[in-house]
Amino acid sequence: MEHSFLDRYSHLGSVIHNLDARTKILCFLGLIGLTVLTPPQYWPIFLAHFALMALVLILSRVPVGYVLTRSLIILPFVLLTAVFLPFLPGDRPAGGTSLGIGNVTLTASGLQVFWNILLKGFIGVFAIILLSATTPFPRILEALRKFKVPAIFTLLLGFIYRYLFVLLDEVLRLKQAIESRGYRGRWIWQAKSLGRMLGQLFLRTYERGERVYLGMLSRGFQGETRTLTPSRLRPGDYLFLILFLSVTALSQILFR
Amino acid sequence: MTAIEIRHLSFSYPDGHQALKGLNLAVEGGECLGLVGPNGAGKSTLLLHLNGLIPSPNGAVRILGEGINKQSLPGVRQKVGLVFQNPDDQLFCPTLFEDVAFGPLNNQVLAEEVPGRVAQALKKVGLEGFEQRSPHHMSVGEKRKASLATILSMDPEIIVLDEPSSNLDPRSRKELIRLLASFPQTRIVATHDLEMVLQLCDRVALMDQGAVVALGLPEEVLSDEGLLKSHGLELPEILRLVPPEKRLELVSRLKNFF
Repeated sequence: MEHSFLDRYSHLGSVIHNLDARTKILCFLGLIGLTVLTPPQYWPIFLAHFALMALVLILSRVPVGYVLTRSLIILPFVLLTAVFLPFLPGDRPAGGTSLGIGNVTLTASGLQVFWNILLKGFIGVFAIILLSATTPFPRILEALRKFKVPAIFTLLLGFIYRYLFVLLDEVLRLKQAIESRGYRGRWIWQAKSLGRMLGQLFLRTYERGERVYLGMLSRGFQGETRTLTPSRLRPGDYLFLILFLSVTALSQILFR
Repeated sequence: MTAIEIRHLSFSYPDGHQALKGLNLAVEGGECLGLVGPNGAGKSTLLLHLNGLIPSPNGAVRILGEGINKQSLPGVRQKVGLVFQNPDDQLFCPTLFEDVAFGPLNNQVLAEEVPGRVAQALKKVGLEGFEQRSPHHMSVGEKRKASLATILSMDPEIIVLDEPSSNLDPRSRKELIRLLASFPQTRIVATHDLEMVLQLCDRVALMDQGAVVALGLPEEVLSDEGLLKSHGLELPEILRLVPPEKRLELVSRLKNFF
């Protein structure tokens, strides 16, 4: 059972890994924000932002292919939502062809919007993947707590991270159990078993939740989460923060 | 001193099933008490009463002389550490450090003292340096020890364990028994592992149908084949190997094994 695919390279010891999670969250969110605010025609800015992240990626020693292939998961979503945009009526046609039944026209503005969504989506996901590949998830949660994100969210995220694998194992066991009794899931009426399996999974998850809650109560939980905050921002963090954000901002000024 | 005193404790689940029927039990301070009995005897239900997860009628359960009520509840939960059967229920934080620190932080331990407590608790169970590990990166044996650490960090006076040796391979099981034997605290161990009771426990309580039906030395209670059979248990295989008059000697040798 694959048990660490979520944050596989997050325990390497590079310069980037050693930064505080807060620094990285601020930098990458800043970069995403500025990217989103950049008008689509200023493509050198996108290039500069991407180059900056590529530099961070190289410094982090995380395999480039890993981050790139992970970032591609955004493509199907972008394509699904944006694929028709270039064909919508717009200001000036960029090209077209006759299909015999009617004319298909591409518009320049539509193409620009499409390109815009694709690029910004990719850069955003790239930044997030880079964050998760260089920061162990518990550190990200700790950073969120320090950013005063409400405890209910950080607690929930923590539980998801903790129990995702437990749940996956449970699904796997259920699947093995029904398959070992000859289930192949080929016919529509076999979907009933799938429904039962989902029901089982829900019940097991629910009961686990109850037991975990009892476990929390027995260790004195009274509805309020208390955590320690061991990590500190070091000079390197400030340096990185200033460098990263000023390069990002500078590219905005230079290329406009 | 009596660590736990239970008088006429009865409890029915909302579906009407009566799990405990007028149970009486006294546990001495510092002793290790085995709790055995068939499935459905009420062992787990009893354990949930011991730190107030199931509220008990006034005075029916007394912990170190004190009844469990709303005022005493936080103190009782600090004094009685409950280790659940499934470590995946006990360990719910992203890292082991957070899990072991969870109890002390809830019990008003000063924040500066917590890392020391965590390190100490992990050292006691032999998991030094595991602070930043995630439970899903640990073996079952390690998870079991980690579960123990999560309550040791609260500095409890009574440790209550539900099936501590289940699902463990022989070596991890032996390590765990050694570990439990080394603790000075009062321990209550609910289990089907009768060999472990013979090695580990000072006394054993046999439960059936919501009540304690026999209480005594493990070598006496667990070598009484008639008694065990009538309550859905079997004589431990190892005691079968010797004639009845030699069983006491065998058990005392078992205890010296580790």
